[in-house]
Amino acid sequence: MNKKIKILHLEDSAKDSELILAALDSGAIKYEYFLVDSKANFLNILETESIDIILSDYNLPSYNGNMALKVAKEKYPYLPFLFVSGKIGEDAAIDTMLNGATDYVLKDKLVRLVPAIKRAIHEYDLEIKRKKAEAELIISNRELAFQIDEKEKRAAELIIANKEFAFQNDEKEKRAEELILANQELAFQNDEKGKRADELILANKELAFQNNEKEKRAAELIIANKELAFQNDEKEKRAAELIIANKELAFQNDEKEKRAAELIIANKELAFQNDEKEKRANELILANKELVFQNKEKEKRAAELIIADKELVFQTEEKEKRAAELVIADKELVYQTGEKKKRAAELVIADKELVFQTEEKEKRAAELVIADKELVFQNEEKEKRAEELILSDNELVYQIGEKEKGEIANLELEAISESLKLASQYSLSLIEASRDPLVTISPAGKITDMNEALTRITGMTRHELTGTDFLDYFTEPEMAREVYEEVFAKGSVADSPLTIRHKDGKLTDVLFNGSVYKDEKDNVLGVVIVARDVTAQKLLSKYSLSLIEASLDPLITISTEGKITDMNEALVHITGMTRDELTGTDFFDYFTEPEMARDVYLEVFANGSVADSPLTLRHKDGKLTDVLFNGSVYKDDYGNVLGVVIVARDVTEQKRIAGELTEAIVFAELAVGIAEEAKTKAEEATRIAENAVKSKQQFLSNMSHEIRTPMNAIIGFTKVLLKTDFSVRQKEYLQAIKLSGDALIVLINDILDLAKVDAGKMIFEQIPFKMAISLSAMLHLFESKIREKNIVLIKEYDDKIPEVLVGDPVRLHQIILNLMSNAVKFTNKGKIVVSVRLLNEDENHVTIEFSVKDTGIGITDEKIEKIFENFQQASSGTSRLYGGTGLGLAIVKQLVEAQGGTISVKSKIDVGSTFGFVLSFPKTQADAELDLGVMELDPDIKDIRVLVVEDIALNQLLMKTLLDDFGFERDIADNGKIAIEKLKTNSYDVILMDLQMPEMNGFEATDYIRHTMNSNIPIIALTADVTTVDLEKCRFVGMNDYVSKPVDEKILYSKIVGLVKKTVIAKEEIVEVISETIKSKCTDLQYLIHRTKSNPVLMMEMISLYLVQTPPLIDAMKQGMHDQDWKTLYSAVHKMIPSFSIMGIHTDFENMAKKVQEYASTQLQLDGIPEMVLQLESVCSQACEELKEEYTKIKNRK
Amino acid sequence: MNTDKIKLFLVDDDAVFLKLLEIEFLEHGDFEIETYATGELCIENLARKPDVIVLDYYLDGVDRDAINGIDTLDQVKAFNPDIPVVMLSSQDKIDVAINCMHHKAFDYVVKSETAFMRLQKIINTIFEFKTMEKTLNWYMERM
Repeated sequence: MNKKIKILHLEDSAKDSELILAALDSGAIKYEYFLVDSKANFLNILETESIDIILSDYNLPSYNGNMALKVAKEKYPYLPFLFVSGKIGEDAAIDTMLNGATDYVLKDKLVRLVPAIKRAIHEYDLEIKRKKAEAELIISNRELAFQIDEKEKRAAELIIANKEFAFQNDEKEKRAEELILANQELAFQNDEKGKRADELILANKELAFQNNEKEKRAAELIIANKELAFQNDEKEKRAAELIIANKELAFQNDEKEKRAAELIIANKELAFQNDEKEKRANELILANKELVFQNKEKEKRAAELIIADKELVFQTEEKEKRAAELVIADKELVYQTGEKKKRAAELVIADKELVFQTEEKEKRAAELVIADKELVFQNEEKEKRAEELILSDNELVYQIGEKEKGEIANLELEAISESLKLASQYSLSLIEASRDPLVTISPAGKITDMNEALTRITGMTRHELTGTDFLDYFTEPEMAREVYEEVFAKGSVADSPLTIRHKDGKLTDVLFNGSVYKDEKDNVLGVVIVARDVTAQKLLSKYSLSLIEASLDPLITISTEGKITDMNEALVHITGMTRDELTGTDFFDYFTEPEMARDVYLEVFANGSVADSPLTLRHKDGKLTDVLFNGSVYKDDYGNVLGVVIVARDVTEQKRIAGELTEAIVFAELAVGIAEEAKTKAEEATRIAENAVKSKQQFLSNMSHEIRTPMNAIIGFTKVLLKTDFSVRQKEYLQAIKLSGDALIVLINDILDLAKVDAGKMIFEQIPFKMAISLSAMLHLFESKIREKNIVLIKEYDDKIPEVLVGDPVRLHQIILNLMSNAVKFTNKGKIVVSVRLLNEDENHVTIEFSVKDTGIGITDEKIEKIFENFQQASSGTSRLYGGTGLGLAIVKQLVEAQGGTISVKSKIDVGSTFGFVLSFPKTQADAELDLGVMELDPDIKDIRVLVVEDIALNQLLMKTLLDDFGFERDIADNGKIAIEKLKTNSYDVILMDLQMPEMNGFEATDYIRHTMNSNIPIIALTADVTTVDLEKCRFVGMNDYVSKPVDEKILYSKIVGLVKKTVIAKEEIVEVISETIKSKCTDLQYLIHRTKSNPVLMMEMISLYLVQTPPLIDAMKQGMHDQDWKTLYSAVHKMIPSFSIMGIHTDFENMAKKVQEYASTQLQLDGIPEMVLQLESVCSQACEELKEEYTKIKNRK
Repeated sequence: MNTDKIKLFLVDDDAVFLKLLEIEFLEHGDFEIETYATGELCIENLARKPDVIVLDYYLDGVDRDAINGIDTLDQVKAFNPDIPVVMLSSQDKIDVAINCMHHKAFDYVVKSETAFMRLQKIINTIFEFKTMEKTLNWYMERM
């Protein structure tokens, strides 16, 4: 206890306080002693000092210890509170202890005080410490609890966190697993991708390749399409041909069936068929008659046309006559119009003169007026002067004194008199100047004064005139006197007409104008007269009058009331009235339509003139004249209408002419109409005729086919029959049948030939043949007939003719045959001379004249014209007497002219006829072909195997028989298909191919054999129909030759032999020869002929154009090549190309030209050009040569 | 258009072919033919109102100064674009044909054996076409 203990003592007694103090001091403690006795102080000290112990008395006056204890315990519960008190009692003490006092000390036992204080402080300290410790413990416990809580929280959180963590780990593991799977997937997919990429690359390569392939295919397709299109065209063509062929086939099948049916009853039906044939022949005759009739119709139409033309010519002449007349009339009119114009011009001049004269008169009048005025003025002046004189006299009297003034006055007078003189001189000069005679006469009638003009007119001098009687100078003095008296009476006179006589006798017409002149006192001093010269005027008027009278047209002047005032002779003439009768009458009366005349007349007044109104004047005797009314008013100087001048022009002549002209025109038009009608009729007729011709041709070709087919059978079998054994009589009958059949065939052939040539389809062969041999072979045929008739045949053959010539021997044969048969037919006695003469020979050609001269019945001149026409014989009876159809000469003519030759005939009745023709043949080096007349079996040629392709059984039989006769082996096929089958298995030397067959026809079969089987076996076509079958078609499919049905065995034999020989021996030679002669011709005019339908005019035009156009092109081509001017070369060759195909030049040359063209344009491969150009040049030149030949041929044909 | 005869101009400097065409046309139909050897002549006579013109492509082959087919075509079209012009030529290059069509030719025919038949067909087509046009116009006016 170092510290001072702060003691608070609550005691009211001081004694007690001292006792305590003593006790404290005895207790050896350091203390700070505070004594309080009141509550306030107690509280105060308690408050202010940090008391360590409180000592308190129990009973205080103002305060009690318990209270203080309470307070202290309230404030400082642990502050020791000690009661120091006397005896209070045990209860009080326990009470205080119960109240919380720390200790109770009795005042009497104060010894215990200090230990009690010590103990109390110690306990207090302990208490405080304990309390502290307790507090601290609580705090720490609290702290701990809190921390435990915290720890628990943390723990809880941790648990949660751990759970979280565990969960997240699970998740992570799951993810990790998934990732692994994903990676595996990815790896797998990449692998896949890689594989795909590889596949894609491959696929792209594949695609590219396929695209290339596709393009190739497409290109191929285009080509294939083009091919296809072409093939389709070809197919269509084939299809069309097939259709035609099929139709033909169907038809043929029908025919075949009919044939088969007929065949069964053939024998019985022969007679019936003969009847039929006769009917047909009759029908043919009818048809021919029809044709003749139609031709006659045509001629009639032509004749009508000629007549119509003549009509037209006549009408045209009429028209021209009318026109000429019109021209003359017009000239008349023109002349009259000219005359009228002249008159009018002259009138105009007269008018002008009149006007001029009037002006002159006016001038004169004006001058006169002026002169009068002057005179008046002069008179006035004179009077003035006189007055002045008087005045001056007065003056003088007045001025006696003034002499000088008087002298001056004298001078003045003189001056005045001078002026007077001047004045009078002036007026005098005026008077003298006037051209008109001015005279002054005294009241007695004597001339007092005159001017120069009067002296001139009268021819007298002034001196002679003055004082004479003025009247003496007039031709009519009495009239002059009257006038003169009138002047004095009236004071003036104007424009009186009189005539002055010259001394020499010349008369002058004048107009008299006069007036009196008076002095100042109005006394008449005399008369001033102006006599105006009007001769000119009168002349003019006389002149006008003569003009008017001369006019042929009536001229009339009428007054404003319509009365005639004047007229000319023409009016008198037209109306038939005299002038006197006419004058003053109504002008309208002389017109047929007075009202219209009045209207016209009014119009004149209204408009001032009228022109060309048509009216009609009536003559007194009734004759009417048509006139045109022309009128115009005439006015005086003041514009007043004085009347109307009318000219009425006679137009009757004109009207008549106009009428005639219209008539003529109408006639001409009518004629033209008729002519046109006739033309249309003619065109119609020609059209009908053409149609008729066409239908005739059609008919003929149809009939030919129909007739030939059975004819073939008849003739063939008849021939065959003849070879077998028969009795003589049977042979005779068969011969008759054969003859008839032959005749029929000849007829058919003739008709067909004619039809062919007509249609321009006749083709002439150009093969080498021996003329002489051919001729003699043919003449041989007639020998028997000639011998029969006892006629002599003489043959004249010119040696100079070359042995081999190029031409068509068959046709020549035909011509000579016809002529010969005519000669033989119409000659009954005498001789027939056949002569062949060489007319002209040049390097390449010979011209030969053939003539057949007989001594037969002759031909009249009229008939010579007609005999060459179809179906014409010299007389209608000829057919009956001599037989024949009349076709022979027509055929001859056509054949000769078609080859470019001419035919002629001379004949005399009962003497004989000579038929001649001229032909030209080209020469050749080649050897002639085997003559077709060879009949004998060639022994070298045997074992020929022949395949016969023919559907009609009858014909098959025929062929079999024929071929057996020849000794050939034969095989039969029914149609093309079977033939091909046979060809495949067997071999043959030659095929005889019919054309019309079912299944596969001749063309198809040949085509197949040639192009599919590629066989060159000779094929001969057998055909019944020679008009429609195109030889070209046969050649085109590859046939070598053709034979027409009915088959001539000789021809057939020779052809077979020939063809077989060709294939066996030396075919190259012959082919070469033939090809040489063929090659020599490079042009082929088939195309051209086809296009122009053989119209010779057009052919010639085309050829000439080619001949004109081509040589310059050839030159240009060569020039271009030479100069290496590729442009020129290109254009030249380009132009040539179309004409190659037109002229039928081989397509090789065309292609060559195209190549040259291409090279020239692209300028590549230039080295190939020269050779090709040379070839083109040669072929073109050759073509030109050949075409020139053709041209002359065609020209000759015309 | 003259209902009786169709007026046809043929222009070609190849006289042979020109004549052939003329012959064929005269035979095969009611045509009124006028032939000209150069493009200039054709153009001078355009006032005569042809219904169809057949024009060769290569007109300046012989005479170098003449205008060629294409120029003639242009001038014809400038004069009257309604006249159909058919071009002819012996060459069958396709670019030539296309060139002609660009210059508004109606058709292009190569000179050959079938040329004439083709020309006929073309002319028939032209007239059918014209008839159709006319009918159409007639209806359109009525609407």
